[in-house]
Amino acid sequence: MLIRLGRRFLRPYTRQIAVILVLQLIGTIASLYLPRLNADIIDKGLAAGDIATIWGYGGGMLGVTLVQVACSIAAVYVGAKVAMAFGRDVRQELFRTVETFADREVNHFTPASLITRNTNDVTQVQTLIVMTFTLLVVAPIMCIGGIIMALREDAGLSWLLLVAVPLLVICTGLIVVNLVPGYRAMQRKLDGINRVMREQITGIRVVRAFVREPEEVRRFGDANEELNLVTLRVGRIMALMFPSIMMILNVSSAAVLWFGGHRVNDGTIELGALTAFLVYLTMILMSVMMATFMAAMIPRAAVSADRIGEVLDTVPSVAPPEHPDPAPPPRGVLRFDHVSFRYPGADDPVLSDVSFTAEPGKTTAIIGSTGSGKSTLISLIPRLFDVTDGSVSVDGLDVRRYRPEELWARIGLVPQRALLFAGTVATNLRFGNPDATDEELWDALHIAQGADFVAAMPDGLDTPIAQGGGNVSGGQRQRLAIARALVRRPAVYVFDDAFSALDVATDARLRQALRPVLRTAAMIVVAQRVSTIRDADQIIVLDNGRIVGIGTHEGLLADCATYAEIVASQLTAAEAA
Amino acid sequence: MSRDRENETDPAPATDPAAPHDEAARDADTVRHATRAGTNRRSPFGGGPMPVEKSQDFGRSIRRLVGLLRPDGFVVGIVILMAVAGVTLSVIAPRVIGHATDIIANGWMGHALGDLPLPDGATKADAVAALRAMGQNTRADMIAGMDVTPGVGVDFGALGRVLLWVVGLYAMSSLIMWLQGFLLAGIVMRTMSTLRADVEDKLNRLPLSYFDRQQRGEVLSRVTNDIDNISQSMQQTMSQLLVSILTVIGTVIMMFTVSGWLTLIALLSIPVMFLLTAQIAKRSQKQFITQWRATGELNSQVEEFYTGHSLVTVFGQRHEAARRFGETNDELYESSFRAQFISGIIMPAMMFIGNLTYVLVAVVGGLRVVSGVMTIGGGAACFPDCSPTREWARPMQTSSAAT
Repeated sequence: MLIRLGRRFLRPYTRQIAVILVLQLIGTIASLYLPRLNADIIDKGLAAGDIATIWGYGGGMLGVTLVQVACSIAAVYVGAKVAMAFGRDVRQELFRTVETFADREVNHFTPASLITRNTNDVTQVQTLIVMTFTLLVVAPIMCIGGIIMALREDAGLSWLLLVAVPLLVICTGLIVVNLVPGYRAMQRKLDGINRVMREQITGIRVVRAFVREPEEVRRFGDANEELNLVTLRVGRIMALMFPSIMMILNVSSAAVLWFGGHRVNDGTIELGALTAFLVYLTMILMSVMMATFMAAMIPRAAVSADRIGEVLDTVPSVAPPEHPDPAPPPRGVLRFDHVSFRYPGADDPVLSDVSFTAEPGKTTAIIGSTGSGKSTLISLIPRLFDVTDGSVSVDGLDVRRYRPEELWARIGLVPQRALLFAGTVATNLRFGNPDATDEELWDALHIAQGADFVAAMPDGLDTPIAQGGGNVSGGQRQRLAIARALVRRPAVYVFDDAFSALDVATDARLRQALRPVLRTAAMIVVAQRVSTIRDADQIIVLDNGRIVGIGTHEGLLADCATYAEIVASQLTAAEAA
Repeated sequence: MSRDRENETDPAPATDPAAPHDEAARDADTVRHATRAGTNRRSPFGGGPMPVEKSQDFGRSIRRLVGLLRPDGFVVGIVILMAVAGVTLSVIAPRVIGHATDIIANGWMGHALGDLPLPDGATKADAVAALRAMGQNTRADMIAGMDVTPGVGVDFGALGRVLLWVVGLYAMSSLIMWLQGFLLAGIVMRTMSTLRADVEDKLNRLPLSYFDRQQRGEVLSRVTNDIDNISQSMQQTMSQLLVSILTVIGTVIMMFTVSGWLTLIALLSIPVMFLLTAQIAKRSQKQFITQWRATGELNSQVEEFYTGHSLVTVFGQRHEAARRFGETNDELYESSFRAQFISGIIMPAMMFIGNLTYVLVAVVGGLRVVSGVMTIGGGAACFPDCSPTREWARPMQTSSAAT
């Protein structure tokens, strides 16, 4: 997946990547050329005692150094640009993909996980790409270049490379191979101990109340001990790394001097060539080491890449029609026709054979216990899910035949969780209708019983709203969410348990104010409180995804046992309070 | 790591007391927490130093850490002693390698001088005199500073002995460094374990009102992330910083014994490096702060749009959301590119100064050898394979990353 991701998102930057490679190539060649020039200083300058030659080669070295630094910095520039652009593109594509998801996909991944994938996971892969451009591509060039240069200095000593390089690869490889699972285990144990602490902090009252401290301390001690063992193991492996690398490096240097000394004595090579060979050996070994460590980073980024890929590869379960039908004029008629819904792979349907019609000017209330399928039923209207059987139609047209934008424009949703977005009161109210005038906003607020508190806010409509609406109370949030739906002037209102945070008086006033608006629109209300819906034109009682009763409050009280039970339970609760 | 955490529910505080079970706020907080945990962790290279909350009183934190180490005082002492010993050995070793190079160089010159019209058994003095007679005064000066016998090659007996010494020294140094790292791992482990246990102990003694006052996420992040961070920085910096600083000191001393001039040159590069790093760090910090801000904004936007996914959809705001996300995304791209570039310059810049020093040392060293003040091997000891300047670049990076 890492490769696929790279291929897909780096393709637009092929040219820049080529530039990076060329720059790194030139820069590395320059680095490789320095020891050669230094050797010339020794062999041609020192040997002949020629000061001018020393200065000359010194100048050459200076020039090469300048080329090297210029190339490196340019490569860092282009590399950073491409890597960050990659990150940007992946983030944008992820975001775009998630936007097309239906609720099923979002719930499958969970929002929290999607967010992490969109941010942290992208950063992980991006970091790897930065490293690749700045270090990883250098390593093979340096290694191969170093070998070529070393062979040029003295092919007769090359067998030393054949021993030293594999030795180093095996050595660092062994350490890295042992280290990676160690790190993973450490992370797991760390998460484990964090979980224990988290549970203790969140459950502190329970812990104290039941005097469970000793038990908790013991649990913590165990987790801590486990972590200690792993940490120790990892630390000790780490301790091996530096000394063993130094050992290999230095012993091979000594070997070069010993065998090289003989060749100098034979007159096969010059002294300068020997010192250059020594430097090349170091460079080769360093590049091998660098590559090994980099390789250890890859698995981590690969995990992130997989997680990104999962999202990108997900096909939304609800797709817009290829050839949508023209939308009928808005009337405010919603019809469920023998609707069934089940999650793929699930045995029991969430909804089965649900049929009803909601008409303009009428309120349809849906009541039932938790898990009876109320929220799912509502989600079918704007196609957050698609029915598995039967059909849902708005204004006479199957919702699956609409252009999605036209369908959504007819629906005013007030969700169970009255979520507000960061911005101001006005930007939140205009969320579904950017062209609404201030007057329209105030109208909506009056109906939603929110005009008073908004007027009392320091900046009125321009009062800032924190992310999630954290700076207004739950009841205010719900009223703003209702106003937000009203501003859209939809044909079908969907209130998903939207009155729960309102006190009974406000609730009643609100429903009174809604009446004129509803003359041209259908209203669907999901409710827990019987008091909210007793005036509804039709009440649908859901139980286990089936309609067990449909009618008015009085009618249902008389002939629907489930409804009577619900009413009875709430009355008792009210009396008890 | 955040991956492993995100699936756990983090029952962080709902931001609104009126809705204690607000799922949205809960999810949001999970993420905020996860993100923070993820980004606080300094990625080894790419991410660069993040402007993590700075400790207000660095001295106090250090004292506290030292206090934590006190129970292990004896072992800590041993570790420091070992570090000193290991570094001393690894610093002496190049000097010994220099001797080996000298021996080879002498043989090399001896061979070269064999071409001179000298009688068998001629001495160095004879060769010098002959060279002067030929008008090769500079070469004569150089030879005068060397231990050469004309016509006689490399003394392999001496070379072998010296190289054995080299291997022995390095073996010792590696062994000591390994032992030191081994012991240090134990100390770090015990210290962190104690720290965690202390926090646990404290949690159980804190009054309940503390938990009411403090945001839960805040407390959690302290006992989890912050301890992780300390542990990581301890493991890395303690051993690295110590060894690096000792190496620099040792190398400087060693170089002085070879040649004061070369040392001066090399020493000059230190303030240059410092200045350069400071300049870069100053600029990059600014960039990192903007990057940080853009990341935060992007994160909260994603968080908002994803938790309110169905709302965004039904209110027909997908395109608008994507547009707004795109804007922030572009901002993040701009600032992260700048931050990445500026911090990315540090390495090539250090390498450049390192190479520059290398060139200077090569030239000046060459000139000094020619004038007979210094031996080739002595020069080679300052040359790049043991590259003192590269050794210096390391603590420089460590310290700049730490600020």
